[in-house]
Order: sequence, then C-alpha cells, then structure tokens
Amino acid sequence: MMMSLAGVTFGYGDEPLLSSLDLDIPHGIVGLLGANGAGKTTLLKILATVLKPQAGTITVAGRELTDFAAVRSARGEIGYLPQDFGYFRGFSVLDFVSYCGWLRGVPSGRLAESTTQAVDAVNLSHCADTRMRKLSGGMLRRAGIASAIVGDPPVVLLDEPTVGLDPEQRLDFRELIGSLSTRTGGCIVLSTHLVEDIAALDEHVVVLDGGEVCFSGRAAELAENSSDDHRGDTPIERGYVAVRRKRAVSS
Amino acid sequence: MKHVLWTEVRRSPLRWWFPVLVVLQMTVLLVKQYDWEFAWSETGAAAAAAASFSLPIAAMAAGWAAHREHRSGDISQLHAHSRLPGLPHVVQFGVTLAYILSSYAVTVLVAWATAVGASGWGVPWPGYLMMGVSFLTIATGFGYAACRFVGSRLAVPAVGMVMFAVWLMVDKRSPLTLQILGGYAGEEPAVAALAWRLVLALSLCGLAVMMRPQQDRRRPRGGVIALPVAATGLVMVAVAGMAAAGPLQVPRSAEGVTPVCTDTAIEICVWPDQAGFIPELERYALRLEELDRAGLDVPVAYTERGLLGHSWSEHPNLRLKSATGEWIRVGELTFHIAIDLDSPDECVTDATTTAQEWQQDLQLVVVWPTFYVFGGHPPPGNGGGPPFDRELMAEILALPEEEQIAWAVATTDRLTAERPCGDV
Repeated sequence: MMMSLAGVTFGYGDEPLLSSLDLDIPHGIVGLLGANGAGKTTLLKILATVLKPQAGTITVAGRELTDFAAVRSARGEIGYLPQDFGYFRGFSVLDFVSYCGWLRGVPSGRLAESTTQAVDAVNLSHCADTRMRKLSGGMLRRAGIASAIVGDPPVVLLDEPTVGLDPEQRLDFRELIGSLSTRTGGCIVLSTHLVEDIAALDEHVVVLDGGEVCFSGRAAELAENSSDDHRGDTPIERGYVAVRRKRAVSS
Repeated sequence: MKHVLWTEVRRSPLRWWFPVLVVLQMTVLLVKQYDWEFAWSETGAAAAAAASFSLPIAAMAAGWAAHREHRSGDISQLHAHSRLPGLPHVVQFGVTLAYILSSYAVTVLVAWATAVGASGWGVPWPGYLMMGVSFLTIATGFGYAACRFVGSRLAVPAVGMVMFAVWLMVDKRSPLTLQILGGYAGEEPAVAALAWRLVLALSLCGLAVMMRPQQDRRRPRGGVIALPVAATGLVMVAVAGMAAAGPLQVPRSAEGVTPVCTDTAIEICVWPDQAGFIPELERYALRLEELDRAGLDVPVAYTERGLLGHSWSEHPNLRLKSATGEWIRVGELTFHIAIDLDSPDECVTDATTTAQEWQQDLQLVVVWPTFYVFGGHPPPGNGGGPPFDRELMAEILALPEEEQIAWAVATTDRLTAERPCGDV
C-alpha cells in the first residue's frame, strides 16, 4: 500500500466528520467519490497533512507519521491541489509552479527542469510567463495541477481537478494522470463528482459516505454492484448509488 | 533557495512602494531639513529623521506584502510544505525588509554625498544610522506581523495609522519615541536606548515570521504556538527596556575631544564633527573683528556648548544646531554683544531722549550686529529675537558700513551714558 489510514477521526466541531476511518490506498490511480459533505475534501487534507487527525494514524510509503519530522519528510513526497486552490496573483505560472516545487523540497539543481516539465505536461508553455491573475478558469486549474505534480511526487492528491476544464482538456488530463502514474509508480488520488472520469481511468475507487468508506475496490467491482433498480446512466453510476443505499440501510 | 529569493524580489509589491519611500525620505531630507551637511552628527540624524517620517508608509508596505496570504484564497497546499517551518515567510519578510531598508540606504548615500560635497570627507554617525535602521525595522515587523494575523484589508491602513499615531503622539523626549529631529554634536545616541530599539526590531521580525493568521484552523504541529507567544513576550520586554533606558539622546562627553577652531583673532571653537561650519564661522569671526576694532565690546573667543562641560560658564558659548539655520547661528554669536551692553541701573529724569526713544535705540542696536555679521536680511520665516522697528533698521542698513558702525558706537555710548525715566 502507498498510504494507509487506521482509526482516523476528525471533526470541525463536536460531531466527527470522519470517525475511526480505516482505508488503504494502493499504488496507481484512486478515485474518491462521495456526496457533498461526505468528507472527501477533509480526507484529502488529512492525507496531505494539512489537517491533523484528532485520532488515528497515517502511514505514507511504509512510514508512520507519528511526529513532525516524519510529517515534514512525507510532505516532500506529496503533491496536493485543493478544490478552490489559492495562488499568488502576482506570480507568473512559472513562478508559482517553481515556488510550489521549492516548497516540496525539489532540489535546486532539478527545480528549473521539473518546473518546465510540469508546465509542459499541462500544456501551459505558451503562457508560462503570464500572471496567474490573468489566466482563465481552465488555465488556472491546469496551473494548479502543474503545481501539484512538479518534481514528480510519488503521491498526488487532487480535489476536483477537472472543474473548469473543457471536454478535450479533460481527455488531456486523463492522459496526463495515466502517464504520471506510470512514471512515478506512486498513487494519484482524485476526488471528483464526474463518474465518467473514474470510469475512463478504470482504477481503484473509494466511495465515501457520511464519513465512512462504503466501498473500496476496482471500478469494475463497483459497477457490478449496480442493478436496473438503481438510478444512473452508466453501471458505475448505478453501482455508486447502490453502495450508498446499502450503507444507508445498514446504518 | 536563490531561485525563490529572486522570485520574491521580482514579484514583491514592495517594488512599487520602494520609490514612494525614497521620494518621501528625499523630501524630508532635502526640503524639510537644512544645513545638516555641515556636521556629521547632523547628517546621520537627518537620515534617521527622514526614516522616522516614513514609518507609516513602511508599516503599510510591509502589511500589504504580508496580506498576500489572505488575498490568495485557500493556500493550504502551500502551508503543508517540507521546508523548515516559517522558512517561506523568512524569505518573504526578508525581501520586504530589504526593500524598505534599501530605500533608507539611498537616503543615507544621498545625505553622505551631499555632506561630503559641502564640508569635506567624513561619515555620518553610525549610531544615528542604526537608529534609522531600528525605526524602519520596527515599523516593518509590526506591519507585517499585524497583517499576517488579521485577514481584513483594513489592517493595512490601520497599521499605517497606528505607526503615525505612535510617531506623532509619543514626544521625542519620551523614552519610547520613534522619532528624531536633529543630531546636535553636543549630544549622542544613548547606547542603551538604541540597543533596546534594536532588540524590539529583532523581536518584531521574529513575530512577523512566526505569526499565524487569526482564522487559521490548522491544529498546531511541533509546538509552533509557543514561538509567536515567546516573540510577543520578547516584544514586551523590549518595550519595557526602552522605557527604562531613558531618552534616545544624551549629552556627549567632551573628554578626549579636541575642538576645531577658526583661524581668526576672534576664535570660534566647535565640536570636531562640525568642522563643516568653520568656513561660515570664519566669515562671521572676521565681521566680529571689524566690530571689535570699531569699539564695540566683542568677546575674544566662543566655544560650542558642552566642550567646556555641560553647565553655563562665563566663557561665551553657542549652540550650532543646524536645524536652526544660518541666521540663528549668527544670533548665537551676537547675543553675547547684546547682553554685555551695560545700561545704567538708575534712570534720569532730565535725559536728552525719551524713554520710548531710548528703548527703540536699544532694540535696534541689539539686533543690528546680527544683520551686520550676517551681511543682509534674514531668510523668510527665520527672524525671531527681540522686536525692533524694521523701517528704521532698513534705513540704517542702507547706510555705508562705516556709517553703520559709527551709528552703532555712538548709540551704544548714548545708551550706556544715561537711561531716561518713564514708561516705554
């Protein structure tokens, strides 16, 4: 496993949002599905070490994050892009991606090359010197993705990465993620509402509901849970509805 | 590290605030203050004074730079970094402080070049230069820390107003002052007061780097809450130290100091740092010698206050505070001619002049030496001194110099001979 969570609990108030969550994240591409408020973004923030769980342990590449030194070390291997990610408006695309690479600890000797590679990978070379505040929504999202993948971190966490991308850009994104996964051999966790993205990538899927994991397995296995009784246009959609309904019934 | 440092330099908003700071400090240095180029203590103090005038702008500039964190949206991905905690802010704050201190460096260089051109080789007093550094660093650290903590954009003008209030309302004689108006050579920066300001500056720098935003919901890792608390404590200790250290400037000891004197019969001796005034003082000394030869009672030597100790002495002394300007400097010299005018204690009822005429003549003859030594009318707004009839003075000044001196001698003789009784 690339990452593991054991007994992780987190809440913003008195009620925990994630309660004793156990989850193994394998190598490869992992799709994270769930309704609004299911805890996807919170889970990604915990995996990115932005938030510290109130209970439980996180393991990254076999190393348990028990102290700050371990957390700092792990952060050098994690690329993270929040859903509504922030950026320095006065920085250019190249500046911002390079800055993110520096924060992640990309060695200075490799930083320039890694930055250029990341910007090229998201097809933003033609506006590398453009200020971030002047980018369109889709270009901004691609710049954000570049900032998360600069330096080829083994773990990439992307929260709604395809928001704002047009259909062709989403195709390019799927190719990018596929090649990145192959190149690094690590794991890429995508949180998304777009089931077709998950279906196209045909990798591991985690369905989160009410702060609990109600499915973790291959996309094909999720589709097998579907039946004509469930709503949805595709097997994956129907499978998603089915596992959520099953959890609702059991709880 | 060099790469990200260069990025911060290129993209810092301070590159737009820098020329504003330079223009403001140049204006204060070259327009507001004058004659600081003739004394190296005054040169250093003039640069520090220019810095103190720019404290509100420096605080706002630093605050705007720090506020980037709040204007950038959800940058949680930037907070979860693998670098040393606080390092990104060390870089950003360092660049911010460098820009602000660079504006001061420009001011110091211009002040130095102007003074070298006017009065010859020397250097501004390092104590005053450090004073300017401490003032600006305090403002920068305060503005940066406050605007990191408070997310509202209103925090930026607020820090400017706070610095303005501190600068304006804390009296310059107060131990907590962040302003200085002049660097008279008979005074020097107090070491303890300066040291505590540097401690305050450093602690505010630490606070600026360690401060966490008010709305930061991240649970602290590694005990980082302790660091801003410790920095805040150090700030308070520094402020208490400033209060206990006393005034920012203290009288200077003359021990081991060799005065610089004019090479004239009537000798004027000043602190060595004021050697730039010697050519001007020699002109005045030669004019005083003319009055002496004409029969007026002129002291044979003047010494700058403090060189003979810091109490009044019988030896005529003067104070060449450059902010006062040439006219007032001449007045310091001729003051001793005026006070030595020995008018009779007893008045007479059958005097040849009325009391009013006597008083009018007294006022004219007291002020006239200043006009004579200065060589003309005072600059606008630089009059001062006792009242006198300006029309009569203009008539006297229109006379040839030998007739002016004759009038002064005759009038002095008349005033010292008898004093009429009656109300003025």
